[in-house]
Amino acid sequence: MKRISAIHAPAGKTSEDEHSVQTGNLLIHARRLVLGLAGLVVSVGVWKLAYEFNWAPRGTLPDPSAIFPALRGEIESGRLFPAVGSSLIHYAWGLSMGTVLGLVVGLLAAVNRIFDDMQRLLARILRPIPPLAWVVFAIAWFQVSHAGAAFVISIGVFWVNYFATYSAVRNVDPRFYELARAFGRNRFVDVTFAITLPGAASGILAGIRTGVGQAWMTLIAAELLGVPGIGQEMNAAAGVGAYDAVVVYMLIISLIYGLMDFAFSLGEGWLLRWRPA
Amino acid sequence: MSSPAVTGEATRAVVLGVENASYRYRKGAAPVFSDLDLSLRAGEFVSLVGGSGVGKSTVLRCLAGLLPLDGGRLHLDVERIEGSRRRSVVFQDSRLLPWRTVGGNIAYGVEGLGLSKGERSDRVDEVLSLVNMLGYRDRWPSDLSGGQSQRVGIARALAVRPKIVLMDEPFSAVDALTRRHLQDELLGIWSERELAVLFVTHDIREATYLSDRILVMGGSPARVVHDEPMGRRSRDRAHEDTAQEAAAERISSAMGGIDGEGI
Ligand SMILES: Nc1ncnc2c1ncn2[C@@H]1O[C@H](COP(=O)(O)OP(=O)(O)O)[C@@H](O)[C@H]1O
Ligand SMILES: [Mg+2]
Repeated sequence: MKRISAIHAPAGKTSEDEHSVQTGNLLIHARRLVLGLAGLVVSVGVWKLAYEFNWAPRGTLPDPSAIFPALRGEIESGRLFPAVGSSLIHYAWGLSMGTVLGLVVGLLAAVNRIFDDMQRLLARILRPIPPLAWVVFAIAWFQVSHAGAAFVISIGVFWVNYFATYSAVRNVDPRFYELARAFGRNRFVDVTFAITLPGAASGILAGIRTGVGQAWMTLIAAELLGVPGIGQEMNAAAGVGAYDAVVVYMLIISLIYGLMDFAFSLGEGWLLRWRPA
Repeated sequence: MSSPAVTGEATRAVVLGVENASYRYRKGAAPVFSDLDLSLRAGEFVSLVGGSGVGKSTVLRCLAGLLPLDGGRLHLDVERIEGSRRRSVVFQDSRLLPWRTVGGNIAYGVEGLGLSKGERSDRVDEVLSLVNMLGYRDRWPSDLSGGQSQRVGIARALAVRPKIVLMDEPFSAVDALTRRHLQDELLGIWSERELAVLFVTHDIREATYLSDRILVMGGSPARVVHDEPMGRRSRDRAHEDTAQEAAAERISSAMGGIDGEGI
C-alpha cells in the first residue's frame, strides 16, 4: 500500500519550490506578527495619551496601566469567575438552542415545499425584530433567570443558522441526489445524513461560527435584564465609576470568544478536511 | 423484441429493455424520445451512440429507473439476489462524494444492501483491486486524476455486484492514453463478471472497439435509427478489420443522415 501511494503521489512541487514557499510564508507571518503588535502598541499609546490629557470626561477613561491590577482585583474579590461562569451557562444554552432550532427549521424549509411556503411569510415578519426587543417577553415568561437570557440569545443565533442552513441545503448539487437514487439510498434519513448535511456542511458550519459570535453580541445586553454574569458586572462596575473593571470584562469577552473561535476553526477544519487545500 | 442475438451463441435472454418508450421532461414539452425500442441481453456489450443532445443520457436514466417513462414499457428481467443490486450506473462526471474517501465512496452503494461491516469492507477491497486502485482506499476524491476518479466510479458500480451496468460516457473526460487503458480494463471486467453493459458514447471508434452491438439514436423526438451487430471477433486495436471499418462507416452515416451532427 505504502509503496503504491508513493509511486502515484502527485508529482507537483519539487522540494526546492516547497522550501522557498515555506520561507515566504514564514516571512509573511513574521511581518504580520510584528506589524500587529506595533498596531497594538500604538493604540495603547494613544489610549495612554487620552488618559494623561483627559480627552474623555474626567474619571471615565481608565489608565491602561491600571488594567492588570484591576484584573487581579476582580479575581481576588471573587467576582470574575462566578460572573464568567454564569454568563457561560446562558451563553451555552442560548447558543445551542438557537443553533439546533435554526438548523432544523432551515433544513426542513429547504427540503420541504409545503413547510417552506408556510414559514416564508412568518419569517419575513419576525426576522426584522431585534433579539433585544424580546427582552420584555423574556422577563414576562422566564422572570430573571438563565432561561430568560438564554431565550434572548437564542433568537439572534436562530436567525443566523436558519438562513445559513437554508441556503446551504438549497445549494447542494442535485446530481448527488440522483446518485443516491441510483444506488437505492433514497430514504429521507439516509439522504439527509449521507448527502444533504455533508453537502451543505461548509455553509452550515459558517453559520454556526457566525452564531458563536452573534451570541456574545446579545449576551451582554440580555444580562441587563438582571441575570448575573459579565454584563451585569460591567454594569455594576460602571455604576461605581470603576471603568478599569469594565475594560477588564471587555477583554475577558474578547479572550473567551477568541478561544472559542479558534477551537471551532479546528473542529471545522477537521470536518471539512476533504476539501482540496 | 425483434433484435437478433448477436453474441454468436444461441439467443440469450433480454435482461433490460424498453418498448414504445417515450419521455418528456415537462408536461406539454416535446418528447426527448418516443416510440423507442431497445434491448440488452445477458452478457451483452451494447453501445448507444448519437450526437450530443439527442437524448442518450435521458434514455440511460430511464433504463436506470431514475426517470419514469411517459409511455411504453420498461422491463427488467434479472433475478434479485441478496446482497446485490440488479443494475448499477457509472456517470460521466464520476460523481464521487467529495466528503467520503475512495473507500467510503465505494462503500456508499454497498451500505444499502444489509451486509455486515466486514463483508462491506471486503467488497471495497475486491473492486478496488479489480480497477487497480488498491492503494487509494483512504484518499480523498480531490486527490485523484480524472482517470482515477472514473476507476473509482466503476468500482462503486461493481461493488453492488450488478448483472447490468449502465455507463454514460464514462471515458469522455479522460485523455486518450488513459482512455485506452480504461477501455481494456472495462473489457476485462465485463467478460470476467459476465455483465450486460449499456455504454453511452459519442465516439464511434470507442463503440466499435468495445461493443457486440451498436445502437444509433437520432431524430427528434429520438428513436433508434440503426442497429449494427458487430459479430463475434477478437478485439484488436492494431488490426481494425474491414468489416469493422464498414460498420463504423454505416454508423457514421446513420448519425449524419439523421441529425447532420456526425462526429
Ligand atoms: N433535466 C433536464 N430538464 C429538461 N431538459 C433536459 C434535462 N436534461 C436534458 N434535457 C434535454 O433533453 C435533451 C436530451 O438530453 P440528453 O439526454 O442529456 O442528451 P445526450 O445525452 O444525448 O447528450 C436535450 O435537449 C436536453 O436539453
Ligand atoms: Mg449525455
